Amino acid sequence: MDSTEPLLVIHWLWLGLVLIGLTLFFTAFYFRRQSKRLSKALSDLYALNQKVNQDALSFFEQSWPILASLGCLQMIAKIQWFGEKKTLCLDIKSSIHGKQQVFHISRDDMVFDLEIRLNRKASEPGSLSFLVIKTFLNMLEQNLVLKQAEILTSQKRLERYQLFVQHEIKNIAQFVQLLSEQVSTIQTDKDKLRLIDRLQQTLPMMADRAQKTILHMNRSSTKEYQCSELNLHILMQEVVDMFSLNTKIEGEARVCLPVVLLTEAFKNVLGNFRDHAITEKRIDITIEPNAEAHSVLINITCQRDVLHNEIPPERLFEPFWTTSESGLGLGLFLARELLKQMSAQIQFEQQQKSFGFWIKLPINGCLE
Amino acid sequence: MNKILLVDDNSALRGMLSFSLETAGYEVFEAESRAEAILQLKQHRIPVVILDMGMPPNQYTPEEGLTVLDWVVINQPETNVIVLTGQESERVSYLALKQGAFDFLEKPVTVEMLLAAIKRAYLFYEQTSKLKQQEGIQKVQIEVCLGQGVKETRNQAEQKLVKQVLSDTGFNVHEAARRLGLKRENMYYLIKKYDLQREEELEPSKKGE
Repeated sequence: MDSTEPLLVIHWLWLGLVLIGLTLFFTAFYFRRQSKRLSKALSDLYALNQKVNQDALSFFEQSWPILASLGCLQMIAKIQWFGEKKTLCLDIKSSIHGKQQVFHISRDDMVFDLEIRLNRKASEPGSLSFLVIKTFLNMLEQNLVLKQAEILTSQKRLERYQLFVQHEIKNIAQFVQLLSEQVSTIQTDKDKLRLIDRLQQTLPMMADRAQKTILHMNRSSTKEYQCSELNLHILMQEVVDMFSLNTKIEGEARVCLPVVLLTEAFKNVLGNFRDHAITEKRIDITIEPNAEAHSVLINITCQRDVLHNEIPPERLFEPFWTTSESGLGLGLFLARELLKQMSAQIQFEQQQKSFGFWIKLPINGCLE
Repeated sequence: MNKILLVDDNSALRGMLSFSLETAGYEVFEAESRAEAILQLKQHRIPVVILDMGMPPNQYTPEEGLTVLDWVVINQPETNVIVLTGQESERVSYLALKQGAFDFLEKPVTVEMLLAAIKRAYLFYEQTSKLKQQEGIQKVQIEVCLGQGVKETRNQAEQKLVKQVLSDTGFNVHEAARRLGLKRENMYYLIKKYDLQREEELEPSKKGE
């Protein structure tokens, strides 16, 4: 037997051990790197969501670089956002191969239909990239839930307010009814003195409650829904004067619509031009009746500087979205809701050098 | 003098309503909350209650009024409750009548309408009392879903009847058994079966809820 043979075995053994060690080292290194990548991607997503205040649209639009770094090749999103539609296509130019996955996320008036194309590695259900993408979708859904809760809370507050006014008005009416009947029926001096005595106790309390109700109330709901014939040119001019806007109004039309609702809707639309000081240029308003369609089209257009920031149309009608620090972000949302009640429509349009709204009103408005 | 309990959280309106009722010859007791109303009913035997449904802390829902109504139906079933409210009539009247209200009036009402409802409530109260005294007939109101068998209905009627008699006798088991023509042991069996307790015993647990 050759004396070098045991030495060779030992060498081979050493070599084997070194290879195993190296394999273990690289495997550990790979997993550590992957785990770091995963941790970084998740942290980035959370940080981004915090930065955009859990705003679903901003989160969606700004998260693309993070998703792209994880093997996301293309993302096509069809978004419906409070009546506005938007399609977004985000991709890496070099390649659009890969496996496509379809996701649907929705809450009330907020819908995301997503087609995400992933590279082969990322599309495996157990992969780290896929895990991050699922987390991204969960966070997006969570943001929609938050928005929905915010709207629901506000609606409940409004309902409570309506109930308060209704409750108080009925109590005041009941008080007046009883008082009126007593005044007209009591005859003896003794009863008259009793009534005066009772009124001294009750009237200040009722006056106080009435005062509180008036403070809460700014308009009569029944009056709001009363249809009347009106001249749109005159009504529009009144609203324009109210806001001291630089405006030119052309055309006119007569319609039969609830004047209070319509005025409120116009105020909410034109109020934006004043509150946000979007432009100092003249606002052109045209009123075109269309007898065949039994409708009137109002165009509100404003010129702007070419370099002015583009307005995100899908966000304009979203409740509580505003670029103004003092605004509530309800103006255009309310305008659309009010117009819906009279079967009217409003849309936003923007070109490179102009932007504005068109409003389509029925000539004879019947409330839904 | 005929007694009326007026339950409304609006003190000004309550004052004006009580003036109108006093002028019409009624002795008016007032309460501005659920607790006060129940206290007044425990202290005085009042045949007719005029009840507002919305009271603090739930001014805009019928919850408070329904609780008072529920108490009256269980503890003083011969008392007639006229609901007088400004809340949405369609929904609230349904709930009130389901819970055992005698009549439902929506604010604002005329004194004439109110007095007519009170007169009707008094008439029914007197005739029900007469039936109870002269013929021993006790009114028991139960809500049943047809088609669920008679056992459920029988149990509900039995439970309500035992509750009422116990309430009438101040939870005197011996007297209640006598009025119902039962043995005392049977009465204890029914008390256990329906988990009936003296109202004072219930109060602390309710407060804890």
